[in-house]
Amino acid sequence: MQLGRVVGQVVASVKDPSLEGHRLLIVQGLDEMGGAVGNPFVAVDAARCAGPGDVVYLCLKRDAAIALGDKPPVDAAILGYVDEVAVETEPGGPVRIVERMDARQGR
Amino acid sequence: MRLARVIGTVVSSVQDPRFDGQKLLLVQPVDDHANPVDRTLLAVDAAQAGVGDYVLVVQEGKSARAVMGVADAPCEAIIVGVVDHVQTGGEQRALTPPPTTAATGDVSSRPVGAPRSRPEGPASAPEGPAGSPTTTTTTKARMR
Repeated sequence: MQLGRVVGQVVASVKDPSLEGHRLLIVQGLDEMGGAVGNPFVAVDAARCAGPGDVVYLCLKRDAAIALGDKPPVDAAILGYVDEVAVETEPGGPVRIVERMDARQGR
Repeated sequence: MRLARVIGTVVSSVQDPRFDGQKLLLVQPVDDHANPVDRTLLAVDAAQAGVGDYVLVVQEGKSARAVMGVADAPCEAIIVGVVDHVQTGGEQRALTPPPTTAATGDVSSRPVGAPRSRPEGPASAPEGPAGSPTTTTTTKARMR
């Protein structure tokens, strides 16, 4: 699984019927410090929780389809909205919060 | 399965209900000498691991679901054990952070051979005898 940030949305009117009703979002993979990793990709919002700018966690590859009932042809699924990421600053060092989402708590 | 070091925690309140009650940890895969390899990944914790622990991670969905005990959880990485020590070449030792990363305080992965393959290697050759070889020797000495 991986962290990612939602950077956009995809609208496709012609698609596999099993993808009907699911939101397609463009996601940039993130490393542990919140830096971009790799190229952006399209993921299905299985948790129905994410909007632009949100930090989320995703399941990739074969197991992503299981998030949607094992039917749709999907290789990346958003599983949840990330409130907080805390990472140790150096091996054995203190743990510091690098990502925290307080702005959307009312949503 | 692979070895990894737990480097952080992730908190998610709005998520797939099949993940409710599961702990999510960020892990950095390492080799058998605790040097970081590959990218960090996110794994469900089934072994009560904490930040700084060296753990065993399974990156396979069916195994992960079996360990979680949730038949249809969309999970592809799970921590199944905490490593006490490793044994390679008849030598038994506990995994500890490599001295190079501890000295610089840099969390990012840095291959051991990286200084040699730097493009500015020839340019820095004149000052090399004072700098890089000494560093390399120190590293080896610390590792022994």
